[in-house]
Amino acid sequence: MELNDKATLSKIAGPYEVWALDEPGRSYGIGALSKADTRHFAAMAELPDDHLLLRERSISTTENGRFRTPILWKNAFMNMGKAACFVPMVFEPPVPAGDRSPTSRDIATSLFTLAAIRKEAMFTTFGGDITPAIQTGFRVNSPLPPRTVETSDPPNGDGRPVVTDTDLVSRLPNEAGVPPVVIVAVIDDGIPIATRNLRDRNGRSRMEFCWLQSAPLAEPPLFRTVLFGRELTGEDIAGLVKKHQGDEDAIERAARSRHAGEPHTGSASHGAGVLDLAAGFHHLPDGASGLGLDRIRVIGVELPAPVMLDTVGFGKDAFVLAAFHYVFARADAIAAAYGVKALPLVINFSFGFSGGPHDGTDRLEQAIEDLVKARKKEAPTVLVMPAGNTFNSRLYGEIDVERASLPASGILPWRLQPSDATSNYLEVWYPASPGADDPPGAGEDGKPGWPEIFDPSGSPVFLKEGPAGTASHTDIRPLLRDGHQIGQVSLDRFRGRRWRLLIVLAPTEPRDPALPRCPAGLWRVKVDGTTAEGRGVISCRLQRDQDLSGRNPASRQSYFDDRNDVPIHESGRLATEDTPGAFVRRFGTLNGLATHNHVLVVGGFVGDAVLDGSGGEMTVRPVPAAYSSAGRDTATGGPNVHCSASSDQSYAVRGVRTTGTRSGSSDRLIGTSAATPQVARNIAFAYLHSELPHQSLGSHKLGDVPIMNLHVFPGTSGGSEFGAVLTRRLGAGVLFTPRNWGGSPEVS
Amino acid sequence: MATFGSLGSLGSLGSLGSLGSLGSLNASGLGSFLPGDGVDMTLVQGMLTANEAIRHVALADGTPDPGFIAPLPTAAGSNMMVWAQWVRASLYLTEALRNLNWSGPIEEAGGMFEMSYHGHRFISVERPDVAVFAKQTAHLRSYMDQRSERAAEIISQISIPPEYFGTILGLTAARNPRTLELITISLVLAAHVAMVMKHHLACRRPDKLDPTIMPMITTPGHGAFPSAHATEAFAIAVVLRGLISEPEVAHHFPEISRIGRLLSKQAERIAVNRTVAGVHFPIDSWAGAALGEAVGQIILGLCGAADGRVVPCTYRAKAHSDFLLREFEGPSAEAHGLTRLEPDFKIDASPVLGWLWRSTIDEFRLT
Repeated sequence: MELNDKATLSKIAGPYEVWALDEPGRSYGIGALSKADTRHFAAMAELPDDHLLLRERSISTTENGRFRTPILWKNAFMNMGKAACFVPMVFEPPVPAGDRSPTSRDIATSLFTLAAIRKEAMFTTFGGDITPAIQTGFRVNSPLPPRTVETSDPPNGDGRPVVTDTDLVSRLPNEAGVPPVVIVAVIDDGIPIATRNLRDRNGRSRMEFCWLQSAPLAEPPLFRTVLFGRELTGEDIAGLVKKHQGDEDAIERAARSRHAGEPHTGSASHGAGVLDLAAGFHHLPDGASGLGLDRIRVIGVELPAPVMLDTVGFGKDAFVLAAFHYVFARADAIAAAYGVKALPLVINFSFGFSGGPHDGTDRLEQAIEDLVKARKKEAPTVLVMPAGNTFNSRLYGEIDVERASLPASGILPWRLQPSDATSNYLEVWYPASPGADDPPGAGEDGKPGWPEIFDPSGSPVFLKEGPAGTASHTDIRPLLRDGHQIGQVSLDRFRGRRWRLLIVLAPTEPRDPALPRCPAGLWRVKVDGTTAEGRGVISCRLQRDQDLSGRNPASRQSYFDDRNDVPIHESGRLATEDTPGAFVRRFGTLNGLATHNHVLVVGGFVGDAVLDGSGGEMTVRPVPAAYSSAGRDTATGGPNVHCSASSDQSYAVRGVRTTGTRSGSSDRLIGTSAATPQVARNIAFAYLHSELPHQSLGSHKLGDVPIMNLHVFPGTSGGSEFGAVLTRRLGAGVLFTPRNWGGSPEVS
Repeated sequence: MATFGSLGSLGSLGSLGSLGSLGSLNASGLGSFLPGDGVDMTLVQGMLTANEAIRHVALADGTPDPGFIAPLPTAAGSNMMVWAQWVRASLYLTEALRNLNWSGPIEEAGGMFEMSYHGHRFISVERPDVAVFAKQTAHLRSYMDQRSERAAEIISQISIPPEYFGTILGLTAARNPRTLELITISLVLAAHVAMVMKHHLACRRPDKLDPTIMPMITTPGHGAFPSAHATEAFAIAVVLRGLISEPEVAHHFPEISRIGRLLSKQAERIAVNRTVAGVHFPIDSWAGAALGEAVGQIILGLCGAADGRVVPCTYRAKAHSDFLLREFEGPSAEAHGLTRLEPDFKIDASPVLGWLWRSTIDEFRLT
């Protein structure tokens, strides 16, 4: 089969897919992918609600591959109407002829076939006149290592039963309106399986389920309950603890069946800290064990290591979306085991993303929002995410034609760092323009005005002439310097709504010295701003390109080096406001996956917020952490921070004390990732003990979310002593510190 | 150095950075270069007393007759094994440097500074203009972000420890004393040659051109161009690459091409660390690496190595150059002003360095 419909193909393989899968971009990726390593791809599909994949767990075609879905929550697609549905999946494109891995074209061809399958029948051959429905799109993510993927048909998804502890069940409250237990789900990296901080008073883990997405398949096959990776139940964890007599090194190793050469779980991980703050034992708030931490049951999902390591490129959408479906499905199983229809669920997802449209229309955002919205109809459901840590990272700039906020040169200053082995990505988002199909900078002929790009020596780099661009599809052009391709520029109409210009530059020091490189230094990009006149600002965003775990020290963050921006005041303090007239912006840096209406966004502050004993007034005014990101349109109700928690103990002692991956160890977690689980925990406690004092954020799109230990700022309109500045950064209130904070853990 | 370096006190000459030990002078004026430490008066007294007490048993059958002892061979490399470490070091150094010469910078020749060995010119370097250095400061600012990350390397490499190369070859002091001696003398020789060029070209350090550089370590008391660290590191890499390609050594390593790449990459890392620290421009590393490559080849020639030819080069620094191994070794070196010339030339082996080379190879005959 040959597909020549370039317009349709390019709808499927977007610019990130092309750079990640095709030469030369793929050569810059982490590790060369062998042919065997690229049989199974994860992807997120946007499909019409009558698509066969929403009902069938596996679709096989004779020529164009196989498509399978992981566990999907049973109510995910109910009452969706004609809206688009988002489905995580694993697919196998046909093995290409010759000894090579699939290209973006191979993959697009395979996905095109899937898109054309509607509810009527399964197409085994491709009919020329069938085109995909309008709401169709894909985000292709990374390949899955072969030994982590089920090759036969996927398991039925029901999993193994929850075994409840009879002693615990006998002690649970049994009254109407009081949930017997509450579920806290943590989606993160490096989830510690056997940590004692998650065990209840009978020594049993409160982790009812854990999905290790990149672990090898379970042995024997009888225990395989997930399409990829490995699921552990509470029983499995108890079995591992018993078998290895509590040796957590042995437990972690056995749980993940690491091969020689694969890294073992380190002594600390992001996920270990987050999990502990969200549900661990020794951070008990007021009342300690009397509040019954045993009634907080946990679901963990460990995302594949490359997801956290990946500095964009492939992305992680399918893994994250699959994690949410899994959490919702297993939450139902836990509810059934405890004899109720549904339980309150708090999901902590301490993950940030600097790219994307930032208006709730990112596919992954919308997919997650749909799920949370659907579950709220059945039981209290709160998704808690961090504001992000990029307030002062210079990753965001605005072209505001009316306010002439472009730098005086009219050119975006983009600084690439030396010793960077990963590609750098600049996204330019034009304002939404329903109906206005003309691409940015289009002249009389409707052809787009392409950006002008200059390397650090001031020499222009050139766009290779591609086929004539039209408004209907992605136009991707190689970027040439000295005759070698060192990047890619593309223009596409993201989900039919907004024009997106994406510039990818190759690493400044590629791992393979034979590959062309981009020199480090100040690159300049001149983009068209005239098209946006009268329609809003143009947002310029740099993708996060830094691995904070330190495992990939060769990724270095590029940034906008804007001379008009004043990062440090004369007084020596870091800027807390945008510089008037500067291109670089701080307000607008909010986590790109937390801009929809069904996520509670948490910022971070320095020190403790302390209430005095009498009037409940703040005696210490919280100071926003310098990195804690904020929304852009805080006055007009745009995406913003909702509340905050302490994320740094002090200016000198950074971070929040938490635990490492092994019981009894300690670690510090810095950033809004550390603030988020504290809020998640206090929401879970509020659901457990609605009789105890708690506050809510008031009338809000999120609904009435109860939070313990929350101090809501008086008069958040800006007239109060806390003022508008504080609420713009910290939201409507802050978690205050219970009086016994920092005391020794209570052991019951 | 104390546990690993095997040239004794000379090892601490290190990257001549630590001829800085001239600062901590004793009466010799050459710091620890000269021997004489370690005299223990109690030990001397004890030996004298014991001497008196036992000598009678050797005199019981008359006075000893030394007449039958054969003389040592003259000027033979094999004598090296009986000389003290510092004597060997002194002999390597004088032997290697006696055929070194230099001239310039010669205005008529475009300000080129030239070095020759045994009458063969092996490097010509143009003194860069101040404007070239000024443009290079942008690179130093770019690299500043990596200071905390590379701090341990930068501080431990103020004098380059052999361990940074030893870890690639799996060297250990007990088994590889001569290999470590070879690394150390390569470093010392490279440092001496680099100092000659630095002195004649007399180029200012980065902190003099841009006060915002503020180096994280003290700027050394010699010129910027060329980088002695680059000279030393690349000389060591070239010598060790020559060593592992000797058949007796090669068969102890599974893949010498990988090891060779690591040796050169480590040399690049050491050179770039100095730019991160704020004490060298990337073009200092270019000049230093070119000089070090030549010095390494000269050492291999003096050792009588199988792979012992010297490739002459010229270097005219370019203002935009960053320093990356891929560009130093690859075809784009010319675009950065480095030209390797034909024809190459060969150097006669020296008995003392030849002895060191053979002894080093012997350390790998373990099977």
